[in-house]
Amino acid sequence: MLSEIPLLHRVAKGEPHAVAECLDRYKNLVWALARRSCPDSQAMEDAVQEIFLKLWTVAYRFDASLASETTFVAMIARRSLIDLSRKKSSVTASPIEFDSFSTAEMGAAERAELNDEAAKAAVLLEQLPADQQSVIRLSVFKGLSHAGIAKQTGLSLGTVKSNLRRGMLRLRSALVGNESDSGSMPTSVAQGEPR
Amino acid sequence: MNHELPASDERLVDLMIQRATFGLSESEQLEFDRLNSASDNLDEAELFELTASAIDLAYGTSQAQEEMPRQMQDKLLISAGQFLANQRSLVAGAPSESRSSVNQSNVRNSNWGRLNVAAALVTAASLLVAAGWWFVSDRNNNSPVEAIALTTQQKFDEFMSAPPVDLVEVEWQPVHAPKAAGKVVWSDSRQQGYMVLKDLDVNDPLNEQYQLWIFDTAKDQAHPVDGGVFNIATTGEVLVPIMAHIPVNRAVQFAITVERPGGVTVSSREKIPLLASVN
Repeated sequence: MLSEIPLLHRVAKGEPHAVAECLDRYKNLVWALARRSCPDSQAMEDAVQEIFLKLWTVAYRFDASLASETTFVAMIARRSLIDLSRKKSSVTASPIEFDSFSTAEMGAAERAELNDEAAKAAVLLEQLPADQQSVIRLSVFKGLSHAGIAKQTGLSLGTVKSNLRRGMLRLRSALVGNESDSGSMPTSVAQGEPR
Repeated sequence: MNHELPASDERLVDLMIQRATFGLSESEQLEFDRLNSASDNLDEAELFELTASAIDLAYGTSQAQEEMPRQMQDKLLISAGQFLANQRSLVAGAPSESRSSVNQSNVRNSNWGRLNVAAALVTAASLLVAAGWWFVSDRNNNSPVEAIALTTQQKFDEFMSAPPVDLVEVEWQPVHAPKAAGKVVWSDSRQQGYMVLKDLDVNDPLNEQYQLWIFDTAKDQAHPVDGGVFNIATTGEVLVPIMAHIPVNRAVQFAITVERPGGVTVSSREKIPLLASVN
């Protein structure tokens, strides 16, 4: 049986319909991510343009065995937004901080909207020790640095780093890693190997 | 679980996680590039980014919060058309004379030729979106992004017809591609430029791709600005837009290298087909 070609791979082939569908499918997700981290509407528009251009350019790299398309799109968006925030902070010397927003427990309806991967991430995150959950939430959702998290939580810098590392390694292993344990760096990625 | 890592790997993992969650400072990015180039674990770094994104989707972002404004959708529609036009000129590697033919026929057929091309494209995008043609339901018709595509040749012509005062125009000098030639044009003020490439070897995108690097006087010369990855699908003359990933203050040299598919963050500079230096 022939498997359906992922939308992003059709985008990579330059299919106009796929590019249009990609815009339609992910415009609100990208907009929501940009809205959270950009200081004004002009910055948001610039960021969204940059994100989609980047997405179309690297669409061929999407690997369905690692993550869903939605997660891949979110990754490209987050990467661009983090880069933009970092550039801005290097000019203004202000701390990087996404706009605060509620991470209160989601309702059933909102949970139902999540893709399988995100739903699994939610469950896995809640299974982590409370201190690991806390540092991951503050770093991923609020973009706080190690020092910022230490200041906000009262934990030592070393504890923040180790909690973040342990929590992220565990989540990565369960969500997208192919290994049973991700405690050590794999050596399977050969130097210069084509992607 | 075993979390005992060699000190250098532990540092690299910390940097990968930091990169995926709240980003790296300039010095940390340099350290990451150095450690990562030694172990070549960019795939590993991406797994942490995917993890952070899944978590973000789980709690941080609700897609249903707000619709993207229509005006923004219009702009993206135009960008999509331009992207497709650029991609066609790259993938097809069309010779100069036929570079702009794909969408000019659309323009002629719909009698838009009398209008200013740019204005017509913007108007078309607005009308298409307003008419609810944002998403293409009929796959037998041209999509809106295809209909409004502006070719690289058209954009190049516009750029050169009103050149910026700081326009840099230099000839390529062959290094490892003796038959190749052409020129590069670039403007620091506009952050825009193009490469004209003649007889550069055709590449197989599955094995290797070309990557442009821009050397900036304001930055460490060991870390030139990534000017984008591109393909050459045919011999002859090809026009390639420059896509600098970060702002360039003052470009003084351009180099094309051959890299693995997708490009690299730090080039080993083993294969340098062409160089162009600003006097």
